[in-house]
Amino acid sequence: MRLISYAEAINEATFQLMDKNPSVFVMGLGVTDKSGVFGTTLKARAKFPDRVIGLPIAENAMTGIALGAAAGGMRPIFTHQRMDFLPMAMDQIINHLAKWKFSMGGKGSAPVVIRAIIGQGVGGGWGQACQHAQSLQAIFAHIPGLQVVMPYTAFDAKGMLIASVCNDAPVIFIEHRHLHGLKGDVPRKMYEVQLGKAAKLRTGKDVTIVGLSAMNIKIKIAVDELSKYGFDAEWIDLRSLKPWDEKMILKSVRKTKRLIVADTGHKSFGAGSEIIATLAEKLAGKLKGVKRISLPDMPVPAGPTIEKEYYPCANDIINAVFEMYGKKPVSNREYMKDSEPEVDFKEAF
Amino acid sequence: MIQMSKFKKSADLDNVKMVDFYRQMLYIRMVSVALRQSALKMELKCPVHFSFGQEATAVGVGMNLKKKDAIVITHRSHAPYLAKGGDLKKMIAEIYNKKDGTSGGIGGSMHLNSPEKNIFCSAIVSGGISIAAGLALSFRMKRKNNVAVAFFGDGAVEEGGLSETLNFAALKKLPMVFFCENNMYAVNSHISETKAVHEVSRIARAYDLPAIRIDGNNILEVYKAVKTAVNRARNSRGSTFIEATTYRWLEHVGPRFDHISGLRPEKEVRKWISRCPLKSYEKYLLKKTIINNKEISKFKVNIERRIKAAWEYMDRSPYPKLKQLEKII
Ligand SMILES: Cc1ncc(C[n+]2csc(CCOP(=O)(O)OP(=O)(O)O)c2C)c(N)n1
Ligand SMILES: [Mg+2]
Repeated sequence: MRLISYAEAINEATFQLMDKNPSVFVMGLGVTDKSGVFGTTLKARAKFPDRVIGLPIAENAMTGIALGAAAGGMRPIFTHQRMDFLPMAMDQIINHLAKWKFSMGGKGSAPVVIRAIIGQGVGGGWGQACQHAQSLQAIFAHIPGLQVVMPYTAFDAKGMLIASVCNDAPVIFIEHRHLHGLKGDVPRKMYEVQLGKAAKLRTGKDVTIVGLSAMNIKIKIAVDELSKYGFDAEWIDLRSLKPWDEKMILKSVRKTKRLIVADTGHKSFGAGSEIIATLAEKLAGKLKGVKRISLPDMPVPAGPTIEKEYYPCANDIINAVFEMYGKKPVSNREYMKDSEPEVDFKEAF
Repeated sequence: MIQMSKFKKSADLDNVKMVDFYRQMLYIRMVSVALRQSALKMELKCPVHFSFGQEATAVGVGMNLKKKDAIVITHRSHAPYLAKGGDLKKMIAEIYNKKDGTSGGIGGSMHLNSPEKNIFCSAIVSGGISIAAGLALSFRMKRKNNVAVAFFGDGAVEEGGLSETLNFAALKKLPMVFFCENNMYAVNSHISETKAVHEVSRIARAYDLPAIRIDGNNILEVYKAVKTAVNRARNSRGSTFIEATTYRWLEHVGPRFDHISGLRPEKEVRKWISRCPLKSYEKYLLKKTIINNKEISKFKVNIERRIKAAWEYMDRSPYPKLKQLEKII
């Protein structure tokens, strides 16, 4: 057992990738800072200062520069402190990066990894507001030519970053600020976690609960509580949003006939919508209940009380299962709390 | 390098106006001090970017604008918001995320919007610059004699949006002012790490816009430059780029000094504090006997009263509820 944090796992993976392959480099705002993007670029910076490049604030052109460098044989990891800054780079991401290989009839490759961090506090109280706490994965997952991953565990953060950088197609690698401090068992050696494969974290027969990124923290609480009520939930961490592991989820839902997707993004046209639609197509007439747990269709508000109302909690997941089984909803404050302590507000950026 | 420019009284300034400048800067400083205490007590639940040391820039602009003129401000919002006449009570309530805040409490410090006062805010670096140009375009199209000012930092100069807007503003002779507060840092990056040209106003000359670089800690200099620019805009002679050099005293976000954590040289921070825009101007006014200590004390008492009232207003205001927000999407 070797317990390290999610942020430390990314720090280690980045260093090992650069150590092994001189084409790998890191670029981004704040990557050379003392705090090293929440500690994730420190080791690389200490060992390979020439390959950790701080940038001007110019997301769109810098994405083009990452793409051009990749076309020239490099493997950039472009790091953003907030996912909210990616909209500045949409032209290069959507029109260029995603189309690079396709527009050349399959000849080119664009091994660019874009790290983006969702600035949400799980229990709320961070006050980041509507321009610093967005969760935009569905937008990227909509675009053919992009892969989108959202690791939840420290083990996956390392293995999926390595797999992403070694992959020849672009990857949007999405972290969640609340996950950075979570510890997990992470091997010291380099290893890959295959993109496109989900992870089954609990086997059950009554309902399938699919989680993305930090929503898995809440699912973890929910499945334990549900078992006290006699519900045996199957819990799948999706890990990869594009491509997603249709096979595993189909197999699970064939068994449970019920599906809940818990996403960090907004409800309409979101990840849950896509997964549920696909299953509706494939299991027509066999589904007994589906439910999306997500953010409301409303920009993120700031405020210590309103954020608690805004973000879904374990209690919502429990009630979704109760509803499917015709059981009266509960409202237990205990399930509304997170299992993990709130990150100190000092670190709120 | 950091020589303070001399205060020079221009002919159009009377003593009343000059005292107004001081009172406005004092007001912003005292509000910031009070807010900093709140932040140190961990009472603020949103990221707060303080403007200590950047009061002259805000006041120099604000004193030149009418209510119907527009400004678009940034994450570092308090000083320009107050200088443009933004409501203090609503600002404090907003920063405390209360329902009676200027954005309903759901924006916090990074979203000090006040459309009724023509104050708009974006926390995306450079995001507000083109919006200010759009406001200027609307003034032109509606034949209003108003001006739009875009506030932005040196960091925003790196974004393509500024160049794109400069070109359009120059082409259309928009009634706007590009007002860059060059405090030499974007988060923890010194300007030398991010830009080949440190005199950022030079960018405007490539678009044939008049550009001026001034001492942003000298209120009289700021006032004069902005006055010229605003007059140009009002008289349909087009936009101006003003680069006001200045310095933020505290960390990028939050209430602490960052030289303690080694992010900036202590000597540099001390040097800039020694040329405080408020204190240096106060000294000048006292020396010229335009103001006396008794008056200063009176101002302070008055401002303290306003601050107290603002905190009371905030205390009385409830937190907003999610249900109430559904109507505003
Ligand atoms: C498009 C975008 N990229 C990155 C950020 C993160 N960020 C917030 S403030 C800031 C620095 C801004 O520096 P400057 O424009 O000089 O303003 P100052 O903070 O000095 O007032 C950065 C990079 C952002 N808000 N928006
Ligand atoms: Mg700056």
